[in-house]
Amino acid sequence: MRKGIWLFFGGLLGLVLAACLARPEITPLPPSPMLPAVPTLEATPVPPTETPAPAADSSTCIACHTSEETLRALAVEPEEVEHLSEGEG
Amino acid sequence: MPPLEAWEKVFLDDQALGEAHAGLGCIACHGGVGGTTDKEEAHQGIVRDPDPAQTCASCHESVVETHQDSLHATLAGYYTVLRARSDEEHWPQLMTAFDNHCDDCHASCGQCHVSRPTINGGGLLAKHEFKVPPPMNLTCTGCHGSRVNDEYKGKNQTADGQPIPADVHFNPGGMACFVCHSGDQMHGAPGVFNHRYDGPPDPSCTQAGCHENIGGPDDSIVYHSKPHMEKVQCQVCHAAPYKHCYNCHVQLSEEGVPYFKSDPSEIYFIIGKNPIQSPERPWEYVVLRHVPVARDSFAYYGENLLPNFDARETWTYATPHTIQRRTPQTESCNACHGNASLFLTEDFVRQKAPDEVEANRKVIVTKIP
Ligand code: HEC
Ligand code: HEC
Ligand code: HEC
Ligand code: HEC
Ligand code: HEC
Ligand code: HEC
Ligand code: HEC
Repeated sequence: MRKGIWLFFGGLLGLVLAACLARPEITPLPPSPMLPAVPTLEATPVPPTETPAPAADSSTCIACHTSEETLRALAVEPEEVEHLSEGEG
Repeated sequence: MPPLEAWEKVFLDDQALGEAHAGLGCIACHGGVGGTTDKEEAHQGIVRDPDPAQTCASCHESVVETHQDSLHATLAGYYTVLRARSDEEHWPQLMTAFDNHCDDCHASCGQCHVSRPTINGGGLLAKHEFKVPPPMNLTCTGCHGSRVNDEYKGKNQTADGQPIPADVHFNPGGMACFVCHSGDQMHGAPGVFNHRYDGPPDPSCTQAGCHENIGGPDDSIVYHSKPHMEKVQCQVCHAAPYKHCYNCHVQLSEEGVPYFKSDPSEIYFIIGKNPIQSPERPWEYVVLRHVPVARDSFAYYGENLLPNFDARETWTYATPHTIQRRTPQTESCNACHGNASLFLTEDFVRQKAPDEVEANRKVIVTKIP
């Protein structure tokens, strides 16, 4: 039984190590079919962010989703509907 | 799990995504419109839970490929049991019910690695980190809560108020779900699986690194005798009482909100005949669990939507997460042998669910071992 435990953890460690070695290869992302055409805007003022803007301009997404203050102001609590169900799901 | 306020659910740290993911920007995965600070405009066409095939596949090709066919993605297990109990004629109505009540249960990559399950209201696990392993108490047990979680952690008690201890693997074992349910299993083993018990047990109690020597030449436990190893599933001796559900009915409110009603669950232990006996699961006796289905579960959506209700047992093959070394049924040989109260007899079925005797013919025990 003792031995089993060690074999088990040994195996686990092996798996973890193997998983670490087998990192996915990075291949460049092909253009996503989900990407809607991003409208080219003329000099829209973009709130300053600490990260460099990536290819498709996500800086405004980041600016908003990293600002607790903005999110608190804009987030809407969903309506509570759960209570209709009775018993365990 | 601790509730999140609406803003917290979407509050993130773009560094948490990790270099590879952050480099993609948000729009590559979620769509939407960049370059605006107006919420409505920015969210035009946004996809909350991106399709793995279109977003993750370019870098995690093999995982996406197998995950697409896994039960977590396809929910094939649900279709299998519904198909067995229904027929072509009633299928479209049944699928309307399915779309309303079951579709949210499917687990995309993000439901294990990024956000809390949709059925629990969603929200980021850890500021949009891609978590590995998935945090069990925020993801797995969000969906596998009322049965697996309560059983595994010892949150149930019997009808007469006896608390049922946690599964030994949890206490003292301290094992999280992913220790037994590996990434490979969660990402879907290659092959076609139409039900969670298709193929050999995965995990198996006796697989390499676990209890390999049970039943072998060095095993001195008298209970692990040859006839028991061949005819009796491990859980018959090692499972403590577990949960049974009855009579789930689904419907829509006047506003079109889906909801369900089910009878109070019951906690007990019951042995029956193995309904899926095969070379891979050879045991003649297994533990059974009543699943929440009833003849009229979908009556709201039409009449007699399960015309072949009797074609499939309602006390089904089970593998409860209530494992103990010693259980009441192994206090002695005769705690089990000759003890009719442990077995699914016709009388028992008549008492619990009188109109389900035919459905359970296959699993009913006629002669107590
Ligand atoms: C590699 C693809 C990918 C990238 C890049 C990405 N996300 Fe996500 N995001 C996901 C996945 C997957 C989920 C989990 C969705 C689920 O399971 O419901 C998620 C969840 C979210 C959620 C929470 C949704 C919820 O209700 O739980 C928010 C908010 C979010 N992402 C915003 C962003 C923002 C802002 C960025 C840019 C900094 C970004 N994402 C970049 C894939 C991505
Ligand atoms: C541009 C390539 C790329 C895309 C697209 C991508 N990933 Fe990754 N992912 C990586 C790389 C590279 C790593 C390993 C390095 C790291 O952790 O940053 C990784 C690591 C991970 C990890 C493990 C994180 C860890 O801490 O070990 C998970 C989980 C993951 N990705 C899920 C996803 C999901 C889900 C999607 C789609 C929504 C996705 N990835 C899209 C490249 C990508
Ligand atoms: C979003 C909900 C959801 C999440 C999160 C989730 N599951 Fe599941 N899981 C399901 C559903 C639904 C099924 C049944 C699918 C079927 O039978 O068609 C399932 C099936 C399973 C099965 C049996 C089928 C198989 O593929 O082996 C196991 C084991 C399992 N889940 C374990 C886990 C573990 C462990 C985690 C956490 C790492 C987890 N699940 C997270 C919903 C979820
Ligand atoms: C039901 C839960 C579940 C789902 C769904 C799921 N994973 Fe995983 N994932 C896991 C578990 C469990 C691990 C292993 C954690 C460990 O052993 O440390 C893992 C590990 C990983 C890893 C790191 C190790 C590895 O295998 O490379 C990556 C990357 C990953 N998952 C990507 C994905 C992607 C991409 C998807 C969707 C196609 C996905 N996962 C869907 C549960 C899940
Ligand atoms: C000690 C190992 C172990 C741990 C830890 C474990 N499981 Fe399991 N689980 C099993 C075994 C064994 C089976 C049966 C597999 C079979 O017969 O194919 C199973 C089956 C399942 C199934 C499918 C059967 C069912 O009852 O629906 C689900 C879902 C599941 N486990 C979820 C979980 C979750 C969630 C956790 C963590 C809370 C967890 N398991 C922890 C061993 C484990
Ligand atoms: C007929 C009943 C029965 C069956 C079937 C059975 N066991 Fe046991 N098992 C017992 C009893 C009783 C004990 C406790 C013996 C003791 O405490 O002295 C035990 C003890 C154990 C132990 C602890 C052993 C140790 O050395 O501490 C493990 C592990 C175990 N069983 C695993 C299994 C597995 C795996 C299976 C299925 C392949 C199985 N058992 C099938 C009755 C059974
Ligand atoms: C939790 C239930 C349980 C316990 C405890 C248990 N058994 Fe069994 N036993 C079974 C079942 C079920 C069978 C299969 C009966 C059959 O095939 O007819 C079986 C089969 C047997 C058989 C073979 C009978 C045959 O016809 O093939 C013998 C002998 C036996 N048990 C002896 C014992 C002894 C001795 C003990 C105590 C050390 C014991 N059993 C404990 C449930 C149990």
